[in-house]
Amino acid sequence: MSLRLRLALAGALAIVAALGLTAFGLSQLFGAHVERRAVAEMQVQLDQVLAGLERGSDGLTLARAPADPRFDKPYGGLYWQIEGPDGLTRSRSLWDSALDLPDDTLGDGGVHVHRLTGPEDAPLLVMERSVTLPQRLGGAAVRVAVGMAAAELEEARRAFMADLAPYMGLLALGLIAAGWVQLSVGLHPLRGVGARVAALRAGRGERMGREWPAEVLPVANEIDALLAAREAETDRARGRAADLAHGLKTPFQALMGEAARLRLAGEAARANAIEDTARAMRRTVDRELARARTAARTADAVADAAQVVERLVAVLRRTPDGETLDWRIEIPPGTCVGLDEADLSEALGALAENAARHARSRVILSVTEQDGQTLLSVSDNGTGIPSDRRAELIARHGRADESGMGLGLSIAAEIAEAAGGRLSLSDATPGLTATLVLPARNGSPA
Amino acid sequence: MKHLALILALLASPAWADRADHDRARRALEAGEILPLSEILQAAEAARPGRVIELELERDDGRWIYELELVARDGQLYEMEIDAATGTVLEIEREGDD
Repeated sequence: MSLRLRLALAGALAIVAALGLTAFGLSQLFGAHVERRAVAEMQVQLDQVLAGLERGSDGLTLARAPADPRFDKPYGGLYWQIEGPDGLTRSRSLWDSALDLPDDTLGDGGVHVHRLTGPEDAPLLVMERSVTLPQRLGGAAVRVAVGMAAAELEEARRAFMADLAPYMGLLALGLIAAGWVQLSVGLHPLRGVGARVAALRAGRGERMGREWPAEVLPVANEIDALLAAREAETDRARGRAADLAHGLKTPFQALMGEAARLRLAGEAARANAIEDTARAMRRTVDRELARARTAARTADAVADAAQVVERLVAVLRRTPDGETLDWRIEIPPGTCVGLDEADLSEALGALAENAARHARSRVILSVTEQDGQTLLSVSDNGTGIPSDRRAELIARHGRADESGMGLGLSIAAEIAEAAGGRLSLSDATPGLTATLVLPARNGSPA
Repeated sequence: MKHLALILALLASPAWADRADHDRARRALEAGEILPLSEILQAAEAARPGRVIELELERDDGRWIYELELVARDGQLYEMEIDAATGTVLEIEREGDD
């Protein structure tokens, strides 16, 4: 899961939880407010009931009933009741039921609020007051109560919540969107890290640099340190490879000298055998050197193919195989490929040597761009290689056949693969075309 | 015409009713002669869903009869008579039809 999604989810959960709590709290506050209003209203009704008390022939009655019509409608939702020594006097709305006041005694003037069950088992909010009546009304202590159906209060709270819900939803969406924007802005530098590392890998840049937010800087520094360490390692590996090549050059020359002396001494067969063996050794060493170089190859290597080919052909024209051939170079100056110059020389050299050995009259070196790839081709007009043997030759990977052909091809193939490309062989009718397919590279040689 | 007269009486004086009919209802309920009003209202709701706007308890030939007025869902005003002892709907008629 991405950091951004993680943070966004956590943020959204926190927002929803906070707004949920807020809505709950508001509903409680609103409920308490509505109930306070109801109690205040009931206080007024209670006062009106008290003020309207009269003494009639059959006990207490209300001369002036409170004005609210709900007191008159059976089960109307508003009720009053007077409990005196002569029994109950009730509002018409109570109809066949009565308020079942709990048995608590109140001091005169004391007011109690009860939650009771009223008509139709509906919850009631009841306000009760104990009063001692004046002599004119009999002087008895009575309990006067006013009740209100609590369903209305609950209904008011539900309606309030229903009104509130869309705003809470909008607020939640707004906050979540704002959080997302905040995250995008905050995490933007991390995207830059990815882009910069990709640029480093593609060779467009040397180091991460130091222009990063404090949180990212340690990572950038570590990457730079890693790059520096890798470069140092690469340099050492190249150095060792060069030392090895140099160190073997003298013994090889010595062996060839010995072989020449043997030939002079009339031991031509032995001389040939030694020379063949020495050449085989040389090829193996060259191959390992090439391998060492490709293994240590850096990502930002760039070579000018035209220059490399010019130099190669200049050398090959002086060899016994190459001096009689017509060399055609169809590579525009400034053609760059993503290979180290030494690697390119090695790969093209192997292909060109093969071509020189097998060509009848000419060798063509050409370049084409195709689908973002650079195709470097070496074509001879020799006898060619049957298609069923080509794959085998490339795949030999190091085991030279008698002609040395397979070895050259597999070196070239290995170098091309290390650079993210491949070697392909095709018919040149007549002859063979060996093509290095390399990822295209814009830029100039370093 | 009896109902029309009743309506006229209603319109003329909101305090038309015998102010003590609820005391009669409570005594009759305590004596076990009638059902609680909640059951009468349920019977009325089952017979003609709507909103009861007024009701009255009458003594008629030794029987307790509830007379209800209600506004049905279709907006019509109905008068309904229910046997207070059994909850049986005795009569439903639209106001002013007779």
